[in-house]
Amino acid sequence: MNKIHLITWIAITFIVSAFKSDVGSSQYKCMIQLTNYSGEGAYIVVSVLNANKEYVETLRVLGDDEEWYPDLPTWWSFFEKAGQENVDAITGATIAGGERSIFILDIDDRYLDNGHFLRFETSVEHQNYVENDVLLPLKSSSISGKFEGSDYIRYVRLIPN
Amino acid sequence: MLKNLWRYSHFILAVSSSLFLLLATLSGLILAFGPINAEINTYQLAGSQDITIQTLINNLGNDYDEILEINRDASGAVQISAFSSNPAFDGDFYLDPVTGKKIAEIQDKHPVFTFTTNLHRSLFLKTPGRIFVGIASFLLLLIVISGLGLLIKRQGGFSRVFSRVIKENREQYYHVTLGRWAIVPILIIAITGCYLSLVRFEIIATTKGEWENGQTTEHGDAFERYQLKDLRSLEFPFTKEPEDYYTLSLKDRELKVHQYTGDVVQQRRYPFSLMVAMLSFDLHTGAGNWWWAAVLAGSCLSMLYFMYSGALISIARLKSKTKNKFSPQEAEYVILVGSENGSTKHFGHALQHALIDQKKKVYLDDLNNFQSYKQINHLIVLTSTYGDGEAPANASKFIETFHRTPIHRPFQSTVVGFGSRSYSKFCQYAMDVHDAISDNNLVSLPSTPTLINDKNLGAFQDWARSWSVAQGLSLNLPTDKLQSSGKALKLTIVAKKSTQNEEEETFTLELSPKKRLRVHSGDLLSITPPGDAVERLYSVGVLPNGNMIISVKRHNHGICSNYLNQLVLGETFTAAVKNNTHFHLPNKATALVMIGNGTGIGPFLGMINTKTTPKKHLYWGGRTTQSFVLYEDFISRAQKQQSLQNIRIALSQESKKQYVQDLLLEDQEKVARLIKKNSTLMICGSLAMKKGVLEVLATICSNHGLPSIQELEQDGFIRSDCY
Repeated sequence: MNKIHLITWIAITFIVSAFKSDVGSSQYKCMIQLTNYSGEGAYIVVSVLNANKEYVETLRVLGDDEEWYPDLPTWWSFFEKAGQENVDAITGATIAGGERSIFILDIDDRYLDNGHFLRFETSVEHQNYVENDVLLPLKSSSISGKFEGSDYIRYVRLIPN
Repeated sequence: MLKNLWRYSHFILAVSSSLFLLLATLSGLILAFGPINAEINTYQLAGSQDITIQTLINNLGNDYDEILEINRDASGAVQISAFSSNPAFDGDFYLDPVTGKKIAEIQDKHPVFTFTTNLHRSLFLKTPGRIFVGIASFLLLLIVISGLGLLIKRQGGFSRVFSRVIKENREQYYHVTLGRWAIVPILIIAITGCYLSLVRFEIIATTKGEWENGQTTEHGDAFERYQLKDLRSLEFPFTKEPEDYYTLSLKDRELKVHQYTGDVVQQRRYPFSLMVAMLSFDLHTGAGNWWWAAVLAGSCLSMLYFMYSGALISIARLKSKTKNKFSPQEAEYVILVGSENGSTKHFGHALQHALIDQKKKVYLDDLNNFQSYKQINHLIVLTSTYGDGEAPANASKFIETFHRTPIHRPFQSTVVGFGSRSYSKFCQYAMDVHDAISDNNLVSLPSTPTLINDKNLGAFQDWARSWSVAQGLSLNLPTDKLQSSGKALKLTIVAKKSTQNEEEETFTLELSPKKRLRVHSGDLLSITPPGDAVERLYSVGVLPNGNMIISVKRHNHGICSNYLNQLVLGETFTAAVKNNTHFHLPNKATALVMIGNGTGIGPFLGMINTKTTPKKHLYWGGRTTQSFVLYEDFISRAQKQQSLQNIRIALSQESKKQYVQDLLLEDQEKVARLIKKNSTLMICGSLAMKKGVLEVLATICSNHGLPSIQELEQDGFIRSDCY
């Protein structure tokens, strides 16, 4: 009896989780506009954090020279361990002061409306590391819009694609 | 003094930055192939750069769901970044601006270039590496400036920088000749490199200007006004909202263009510092301009050569630093040398050794280190002259020091000047030193200095002989110290011809070197017979097949001539070739008049068989028809191939009993005409003959209102190699 109960429970869990991962994802067109700072191109990482501000997934990396990744220490300690595959697919070129970058963010619907955050962190060689240049809650009601950055980022704009 | 400063800085800068510069040069050489490579693979389509930006946008058609931006790189190739459900139009790729279709994927930079770029910029050391490279490029700038200073000094003024470089030795000649061309691109590389470093470390700010609001300067369609060739990038609006604009980046500014009206809503101009930074980048990398990149590659190669030749020149200078057995205060003989690159010092060393062999106390030093010497009896000054009559590097302070230093003791002095007649102020500095020394009443010295052309060994030995006789000494100059003697080489006798009359026997040897070597007619072959310490020098003629001809007169008691005479065909012996540049075939002469007697015909046998443009006239004097037999074959061969236009022979014991100078006098109209046309006269043979020839030439010159013999010698129109 107990055994059957357990099997059923496991089965349900699997089905639910399978279904859940099948819930799908939403695409957002994202634009990062940098301020007119002077210096090298900024390394920028866009990631999803959980309610405890722990990294869950890396969505986008602007900067393709891994030599500089350790300059984003908070993210790097997660990324190094996570061993995320297929980084190339989410990697783009750095942008410098005054420039913008546009890309598509694929956000898993699981992350919406349950306390997750979207973090944009930046680092410029020879200058500062900014852990929360932009930090916004992943709420379906407010995810579209324009978000002011605190340092190198002037603003981030997101619209559903 | 100033020149010493230039040279010292040039040397110190080059040494201190050599490692960084070597890395930067090698990596720069590789990187220069980036733009050349890009030119080969370019996606720029001919003629498509003239379309307006509006036409470009129209050409893109409806295949793209959304366009993010269009970029045009330095080579003119157009890239697009777009989203599309059709994979053929999705992503980043090279665009045909006319059809609006993809023409190629964007290739990643070749890993070699990525790797090398990193090395070139930072030596893989991140920020500290960039600082090193920045400093190295600043040092390069200083090296170029000090090199320019030296070049101007050497050539005798800025306006003479591109005048003829006088060849002293190979490294130096090419260091200067190549340097004056490469100096411009290397200066550009250094300046732009410095500027980029300054920008990089934000010492020069290159922030783009602020957007100028409101004052709309341009109405109407900005996209019709500008063409693709003006474009650097075009960013498309993020959304269709009217407040989202196009950003159009041109060469010198950025415009925000309204996506519906085409008005320029805002604009910002690039600050001058940013324009310079962009220009510096293009100049430093050769981006988009393959031929400039090729110039940069050439500059890298020449920098490698400068490092190599500069090192050799420095080693030669350092090697010639003096070693002394006696202190200045115990020396009876003081030899002071003025030398630019240490070559005159060989003569000082030889003299020092010869005197020490005679148990004399000798002190050898640079002219600049003149001081008062307690035991001095003889002061011997050997000095070259630099550029336009100036002091060489280690002699610049001598005259001033000499006047200032108290002299307590009378002594004898003599000045030997080394120079080249191809400089207009031949041995000028030696004469200045002579005058300065003769100002002092306690010093007795001959009325004129001894002047030696082109480091002529024989002339120096003559001086040393007569000087030592006057001192009651019999000096034996170690000749191996006197010329950087050529490498020992093996020569095989492949032909021998001899002729004899009642008084003398002469013979020619045709010698085949084991290895092909760099030797010209007029160079000297140094032969030291076995068991003998003294070398003999023979002027060689070089045949087209690379064999050398020497013509030797056998003396009854001559060790060397008898040694050579007893060698048989096929036998091999050792000798060395010494460069004797001043007696080479001139490059630019309109015609060549060769004058010689006896075995002095040796170098001419090679020259007349060289097919070069100048017309050649040979005057030769010998004793009898028999004497000429030796050379007949060479002469008739030359006449057959028309590399000898004219020959006249004077015989002193037969027929008209003439000397070679008598022929010149007979032909004086022709000789005068040839001199007038800037022909070169080359004289080889006995000193007595030379004297006679010069007398006749002097008469001809004065009869025909031509420059004096001295002037002709000075300008290199008369060259001689006599013994």
